Amino acid sequence: MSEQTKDSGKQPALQVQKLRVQYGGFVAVDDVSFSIFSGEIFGLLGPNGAGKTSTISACEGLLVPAAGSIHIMGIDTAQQPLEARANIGVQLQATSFQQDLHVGEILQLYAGLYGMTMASAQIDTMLADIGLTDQKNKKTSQLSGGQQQRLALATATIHNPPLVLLDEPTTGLDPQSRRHLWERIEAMRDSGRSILLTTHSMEEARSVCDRVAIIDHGKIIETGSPQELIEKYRNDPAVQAASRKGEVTLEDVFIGLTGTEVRKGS
Amino acid sequence: MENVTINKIPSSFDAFKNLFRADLIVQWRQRRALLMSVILPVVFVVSWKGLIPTIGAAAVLSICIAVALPATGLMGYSATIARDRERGVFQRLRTTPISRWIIMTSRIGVQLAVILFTTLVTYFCAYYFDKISVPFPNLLLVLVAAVVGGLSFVALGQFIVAFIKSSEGVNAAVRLIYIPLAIVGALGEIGIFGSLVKKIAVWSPLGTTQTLLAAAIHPSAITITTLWALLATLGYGLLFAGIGIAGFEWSTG
Repeated sequence: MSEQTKDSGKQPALQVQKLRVQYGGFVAVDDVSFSIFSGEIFGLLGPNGAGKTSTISACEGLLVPAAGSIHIMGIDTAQQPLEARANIGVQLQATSFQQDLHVGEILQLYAGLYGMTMASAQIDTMLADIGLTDQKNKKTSQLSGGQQQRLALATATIHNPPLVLLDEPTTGLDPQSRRHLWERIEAMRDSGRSILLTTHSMEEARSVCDRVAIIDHGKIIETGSPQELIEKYRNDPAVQAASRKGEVTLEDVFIGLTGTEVRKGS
Repeated sequence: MENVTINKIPSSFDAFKNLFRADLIVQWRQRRALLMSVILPVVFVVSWKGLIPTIGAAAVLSICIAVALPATGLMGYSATIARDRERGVFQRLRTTPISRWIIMTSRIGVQLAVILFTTLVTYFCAYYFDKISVPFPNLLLVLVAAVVGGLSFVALGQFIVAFIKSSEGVNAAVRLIYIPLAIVGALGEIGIFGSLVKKIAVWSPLGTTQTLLAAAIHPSAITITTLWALLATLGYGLLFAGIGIAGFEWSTG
């Protein structure tokens, strides 16, 4: 199914074309294509095992695709992988920092890995911005889940990347932390950055994403803004059957398109 | 809306410098484990004072230093690599614009620092407790020999993490390997377990390292056997490193 382009003629921040990811004989991502433009939050919405993490991992450079191409700000990730990675910020599904490093040291390390030198005062300013001033000299293992996610998001954006990739960023967070993180993601969007986030939360997709792609069994089934998808499938029999209390939600569209079977790993 | 700019790749040197600094900090914060790896050779140094008249000061010192090196390469290096791989630390680092070789070089550089530290601590304990003294130029040669031998054990550690994915499995494997390696290597060389075991011990990775160290302490005693020991040590290192690097996976997922 072809994707609607948001800004025709404008170079996308991320362009994925006919992406195929395989693990041995198993095809995790099959012929996936989509584009993300500047100042946009794009969600990959799918059940467990749909291919969301495999897709975003390929964009992050952690996987070599079996086929297809990925361009970040016009840079081919296969031809110039380091240049491409210099222009992305990444937050992985699980926080993955050296546990013996302090919070301030993590920020300094990742600033350095992206070619930036941060003075102590700049580190302090950044810590104040993410509400971790009192945790500067604490090890990352001592942070709460919400604090770890804020730190992870800070390291993902420390070098002002034009594209930020977030893999299920609010998993395990309490409602307040989740809302706070959404506000930060929206602020990044408003500053002109592009964000690709994976989620299986309908609330998150509906509340944060400008557009979503519903992915299942490695294929993109549908793409559009949450409201567009609801309007498009409002009268679909499968979606109607999934709806509760008469009102069609994004979750109903999702279930109508992907089925009601409980997935392995859920 | 602000204009977002296209970022360039940072210089490899700056990236390495930052990563190496962080890895050294991590090693320093795990200094309890570092001290544990120093205790064994110090125990050997103190308890083998009585063997000096029999086998010589150079043999005692070289065996004690050699026993410390597998602890660094096997237990230090492989354990931290396996643990960080399991936690996803390498995954996060691989999403930055630095090469994989910078990540591994930094880790190996830290092990190099640990090798030099344990060698010097062992020597100073031998100097203090056993009155073993080595001229400064020879001590520099000892450090070089320790590095060559130590890196062959780091390579063995790399070999292990290439084939065993879980950190628990790696810890179990290195303990199974290290204890007989150290005991057979140290005691086998002095003939306690018989001539066959002695021959095996002499040409084991620990034995060849000990030969290099003994030659560094007394360069006048260098023979063709020393050259063979050097080639064997380098061979062990290249073999383990080659297989370990080719088979290494950066994540457990």
